[in-house]
Amino acid sequence: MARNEESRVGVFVCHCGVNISSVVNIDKVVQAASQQEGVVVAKDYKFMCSTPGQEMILADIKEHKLNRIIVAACSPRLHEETFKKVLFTAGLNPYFFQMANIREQDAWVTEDKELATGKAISLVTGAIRRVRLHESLPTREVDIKPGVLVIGGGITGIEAALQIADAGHKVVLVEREPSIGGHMAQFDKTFPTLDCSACILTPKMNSVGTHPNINLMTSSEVTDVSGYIGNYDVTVKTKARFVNHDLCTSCGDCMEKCPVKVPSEFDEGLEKRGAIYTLFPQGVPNKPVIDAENCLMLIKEKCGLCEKVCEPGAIDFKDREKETSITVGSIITATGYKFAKPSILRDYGYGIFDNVLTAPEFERLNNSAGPTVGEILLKDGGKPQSVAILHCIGSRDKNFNEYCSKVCCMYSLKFSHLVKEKTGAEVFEFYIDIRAAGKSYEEFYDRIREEDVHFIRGKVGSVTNIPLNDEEKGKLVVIAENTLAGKRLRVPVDMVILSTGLECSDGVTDMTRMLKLSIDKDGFFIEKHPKLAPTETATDGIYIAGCCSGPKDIPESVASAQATAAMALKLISKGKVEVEATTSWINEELCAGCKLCIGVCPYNAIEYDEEKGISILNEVLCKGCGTCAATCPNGAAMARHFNDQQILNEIEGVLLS
Amino acid sequence: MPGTIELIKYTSPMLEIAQAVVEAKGEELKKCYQCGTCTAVCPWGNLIDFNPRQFIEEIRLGFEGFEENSWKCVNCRLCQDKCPNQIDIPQLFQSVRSILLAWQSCPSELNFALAGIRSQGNPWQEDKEKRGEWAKDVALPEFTPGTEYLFFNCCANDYDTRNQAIAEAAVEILNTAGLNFGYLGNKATCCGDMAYTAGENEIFQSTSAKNMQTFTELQVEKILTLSPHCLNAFKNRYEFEKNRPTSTHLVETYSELVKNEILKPQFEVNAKVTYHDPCYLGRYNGIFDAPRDILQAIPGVELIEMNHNREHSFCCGGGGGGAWLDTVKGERLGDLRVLEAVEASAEVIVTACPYCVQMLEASIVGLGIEDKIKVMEISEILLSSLKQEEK
Amino acid sequence: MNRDPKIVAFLCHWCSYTGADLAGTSRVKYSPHVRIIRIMCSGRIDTAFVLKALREGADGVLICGCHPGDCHYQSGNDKALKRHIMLKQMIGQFGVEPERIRLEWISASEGDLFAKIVDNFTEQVKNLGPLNWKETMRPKSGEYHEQT
Repeated sequence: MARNEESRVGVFVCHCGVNISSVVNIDKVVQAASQQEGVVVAKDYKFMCSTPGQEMILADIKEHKLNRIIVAACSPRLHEETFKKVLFTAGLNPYFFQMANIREQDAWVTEDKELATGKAISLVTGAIRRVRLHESLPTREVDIKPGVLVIGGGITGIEAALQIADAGHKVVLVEREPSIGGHMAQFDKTFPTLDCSACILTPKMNSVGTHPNINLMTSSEVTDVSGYIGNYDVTVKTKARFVNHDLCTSCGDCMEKCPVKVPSEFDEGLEKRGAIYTLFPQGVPNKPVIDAENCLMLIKEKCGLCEKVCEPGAIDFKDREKETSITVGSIITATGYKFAKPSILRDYGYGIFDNVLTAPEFERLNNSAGPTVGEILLKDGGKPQSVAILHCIGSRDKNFNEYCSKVCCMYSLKFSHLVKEKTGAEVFEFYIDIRAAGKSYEEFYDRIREEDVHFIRGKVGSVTNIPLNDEEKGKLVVIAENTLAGKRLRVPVDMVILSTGLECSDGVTDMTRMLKLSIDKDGFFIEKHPKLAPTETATDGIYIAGCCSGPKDIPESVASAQATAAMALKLISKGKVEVEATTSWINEELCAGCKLCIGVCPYNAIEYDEEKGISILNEVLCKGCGTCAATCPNGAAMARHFNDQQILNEIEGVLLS
Repeated sequence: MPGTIELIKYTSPMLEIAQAVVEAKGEELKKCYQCGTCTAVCPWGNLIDFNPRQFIEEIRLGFEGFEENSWKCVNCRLCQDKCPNQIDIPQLFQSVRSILLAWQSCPSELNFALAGIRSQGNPWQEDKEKRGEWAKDVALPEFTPGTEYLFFNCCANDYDTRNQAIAEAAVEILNTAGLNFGYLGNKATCCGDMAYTAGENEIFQSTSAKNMQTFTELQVEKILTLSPHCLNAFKNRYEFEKNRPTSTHLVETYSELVKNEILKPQFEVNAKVTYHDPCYLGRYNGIFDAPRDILQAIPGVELIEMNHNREHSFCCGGGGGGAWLDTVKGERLGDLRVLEAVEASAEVIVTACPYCVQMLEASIVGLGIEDKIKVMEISEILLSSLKQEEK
Repeated sequence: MNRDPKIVAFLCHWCSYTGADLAGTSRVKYSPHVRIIRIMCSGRIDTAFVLKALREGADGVLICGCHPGDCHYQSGNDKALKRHIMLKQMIGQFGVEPERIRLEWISASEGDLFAKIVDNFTEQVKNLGPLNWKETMRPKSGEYHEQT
C-alpha cells in the first residue's frame, strides 16, 4: 500500500480542562499514539478547540508536513467541523481528518481510570489506522432556493413568517386549522403583564393575511418532504373547504342559517358551532369553511341552506382536497403543543363533576369573546365563592409527563388574579414549587400573594363531592396536605381549575419521519445542540421554533421564531451552501450489473445503464447512507469516507491491545 | 452548669439513617420531592395523624420520631399508585422496618407473629403438625406429582376456625367443577408475605426457600391460592431459580368456570352486596373484574359499590403486619371500611382475602352492628348459590 | 472469562451514536470494554465488518440503528435487520454462538437504554467466554488462505 507510506499523521489529544484528563491518562495515550506507524507527531493540550489549540495544530501541519490529522477529544458531532476548518486553512483537504471520541464515549462513561485509558488508546489507534486511508474529497456546493416553508400558524410560526417576509423573501405558511392564531388566540390575558392577548396577536395575524410575500395555506398539512438543504420539495395537502374564498365576502349569513350544532374545538367544547364556521370571529382568513363530517348536505345530501343564502354563490359542495407542490430552501417547524389530558384528571373529578375545568377550558370561560363573554361563571350560572387551582396536573409526574411544563405556574397565577378581579372569590393555589423565573415573573407572584390568594404547598390527592359536614355540602372538596404545616386539609370550593401541562402536538410522528428529525423521550424535537444550536436540528436547513422543542412561554417562542428566521435568512443571503461530499460511487470496472444496489437505495439514486450493462449512481440524489456499499457483492459500490478498507482498518485498530 | 438554659434547640441531620435505609433497598427515598400526595391519599388520614411524606423527610435527614410511625403503613399502595415520582413507598417502610428489627425495636405483637413463622411456619405459633387437621373430613386429596393444581390455603384458613369454613367452601366448589387438585397439608409453610412486609427478610428467605423446595420436589406447575398475599408472594416476590409456577387466585378460577358454565350459580341470594377489593388482589395484581363478574352471575344479588372502590379501594387495615398489631378503637381502618359499606346500604360485604374477612368481621363486632351487615368470602357466597344449604 | 471481553459496537450516526453521546453527557456509566465505530447508517454494516471484528479478537459485536421507521435514510435499518438475521445463521454455521452478535434500536434520546444494553450484552458475552476466533479457526490444509 504505497499511498500509506506517504501518510504523515499528527495526533492531538485534548484534556478538555479536566473532563477527559481526570479519567484518562493523557500521557499514556500520547505515548501510545506516537508509536503507531505513520505517526509523525503526537501532542496534548488543555483545550484543543480553543484558538491556541487550533493554532498549534496549524503550526504542526506546516512544521512537520503533516497530511493526516487525528484529534482525540469530544464527539465529532460537536467539533468535527471546527477541526476540518483548521485543515482547510492549512491547505489540506478537510477529509484527511478523523476524531476519536474519548470524552462522551469514554471519560464520561467510565469509572475505572486504567480501563478508560486503554479504551482511549484503542479508539485513537482505530482512528490512526483509518485516517491513513482517507482520501481527498472535493467539496460540493448547492444553490439555496429562496423560499421558506413555515409549518404551524401559532404565534411562533406567524412571527417567523413575518420576519422573513419583511426581509423581502417568499414564505409559505401552512396551518392545519382553518385560521392561524394557535393557542394564543384562545387566551384573553397574557402573564405577567396582563396584556390583552387578542390586541397584540390580531395585528400580526392580519399582517400575515395581507403580506404580499406570504402564501398562507390554512386547512392544510404537509404530507411529504424530500430533498436536502437549499432544495426541499414539499407536498401540501389542503382540505376541501367547500367555500370559495375568492368569492366569499365574510358576511356570515351562512353561519347563522346552519342548523347543525357541534362542540366548538376553539371553545374547548364549552360552546357550539355550526357545520359551516370560522374558527373564531377574528380569524385569518376570516372566511368560513364547511366541516365535511358534520354538514348535512355532505353526509346526507339534505339541507344546503348555506348555499341558498350565500349571495355571491361561494358555497361549492363539489370542492375537493388539493395537493400543492412547492420548492423551498429551508423549513421552519413551529408545530407547537397541545394541552395534556392525562387520565389522572378523573381523580380530580374532571368529567364527573360540573365546575371542574382544565386550564384551556378556563381560558375560554374567561375570554371576553368566549361562551360567557368573559364572566367566570359556574355551570348553573352562579358566581363562584371559592376556587381551587391545582398545579402540576400531569406534569412533573412520572406516571404522565416527567418534565415541568414551565408555563403552568405563571398561568395559574394569572388565573388567580382574574378570578379575584372578576368574582372576588377566595382562591386557593395548591402547588409543589412556584416556578416564576422570568422577567417580572417573581414580581407578579408577589403581587398575587398580596391580592390575598391562599397558597398551599401540597399536591392535591383527590377532589370529592361527598361532604363530611354541612359546610362541605354541595361543594367540591379538595383533599391535600399542607406540607409546610404538616396538616391534612379538606377545602370546600365551588370551582376547581386543573393546571394541565403542555405536550408535543399531534402529528409529531409524521413530521419526524418527513423531516428526518429526532424526538426526545417526551416527543419534543431534539435540537442540534441543547445550548449552542437550540433552533437547529440534525438535518441541515430544517429549524425548530416554539414549543415543538419543549414548553415555552410566549416571549421565548417569539424569540425562537426570530432566531429561526435569522437562520433561514442566513442561508438565503449566502445563496449557496457546502454539502457533504460523502456520497457513494460505483466503480464501473467492478460492477457486474447485478442491480442489487438499485433495490436497496432508498433515494432511487442508482439506475441501470442498459447499454453498459452496469449500475450508475446519481451523486446529486445520493445521501451517503452506504447501504449499496454493504449490499454490493463485488465491492463495486463504495461509500466515500466510509469505504470498506477504512472501516476494516478502524476495526483492526480498536481491537489491537 | 447550674443556672444556664438552652436558648435555642437545633437538630443536626443524622445522615447515617438515610444511608442505612438506602442500603436496605430504600434507594427510592432520594426521588421524593415532598409534594404530599401520599399523605393526601393515605387512608389513615381519616383517623390518625400519620404522615408518609413527613416520614420520608424524617428518615432522609435522620430526624427523631420516625420509629413510631414505621409500623403504621398497611402496604395498601394507594400512595404509590398516585406518587408522581413512582416511589415504592411500602418498600421504604419495609426498609426502615428491617433496620428497626436489627435494632431489636419492633412491636411485641409482631415479634410474636414473626417468631411463629420462624418456629412453626405460621404467625399464630400453632403446631405445624396440625396444619392439615381441618381437612380430615373434607374431600381434599393430597397433592402428588402429576396433580394439576396445588390448592394453597393460607395459614389463616388452615388454623382459624372461622376461616376454615372458607377453605371448605372453596374445596367444595373445586370438587363441583371437577378440577384435579391437591393440598400440601403439613408440608406447607407460611408464604412469608407478612415477614416480608415487616422487613424480616431473613425469615422471608427461609420460609420462601422451604416452599419453593416443596414445589420443586412435587413438580408443582399451577398454584391456586385463596389469599391475595400468598398470590403476590408466589407471583412477584419469590425468587424461583427457574420455572416460576403460575399462580392464580381462586376468584379468577371461579370467574372463568362461571363464564364457561362449568359452575352454574342458580339459587337466589337475595341481598344487597358490596365488594371490598383486597389491596393485594386489586392494586397489586390488577384483579378487579373477576369477583364482580361472579357476584353479578349470582341470581338475587344486588351489587353496590362503595365510595372507594377498585383502584381507589381502602384497606381493611390488615396489610403490612397490621393484622397482628393491637389498634385502639376509633383508629381501625376496618371500621372505616365497614361504615362505608353500611353507608352504601349494603347488607353483605364480600371479599376475597382471609385477612380482610378477619379484619372486617372484627370491626363489625367492635362497632356492634352485627345485625346490619355481615362478611362473606367469595367462595362462601358462590357456594350458597351453587348448592342449597343443607340444614 | 480470564481476560476482559472485547466488544465492537457499530453505531449509526443519526440515532445510536447520538444516543451514546447522550449517555456520556448524562454521565451514565457503562461497561468500558466496548469499542464504538461510527457509521452513517446501520444499513452500511457489511457482513464482512462483523466477521472482521470477530476475527480480529472481538468476543461480541453490537449493532445499533434507529428505531424502525425512524431511519435517517428511510429504510437502512430495515436492511440491517434482514442482513442481521442472515448473519446470525452464518456465524452459527461457522461454529460461533449467534448470541455473540446483537442488533438493537437506540434513538438519539435513549442514552440510558444504550448503557443498559451495553452492560447487558457485555454480561452475555462474558458468560459465553472468550472467542479467540483467530486462534481457533484454523483453516483445514489447502482449503483456506489467510488474506492480507
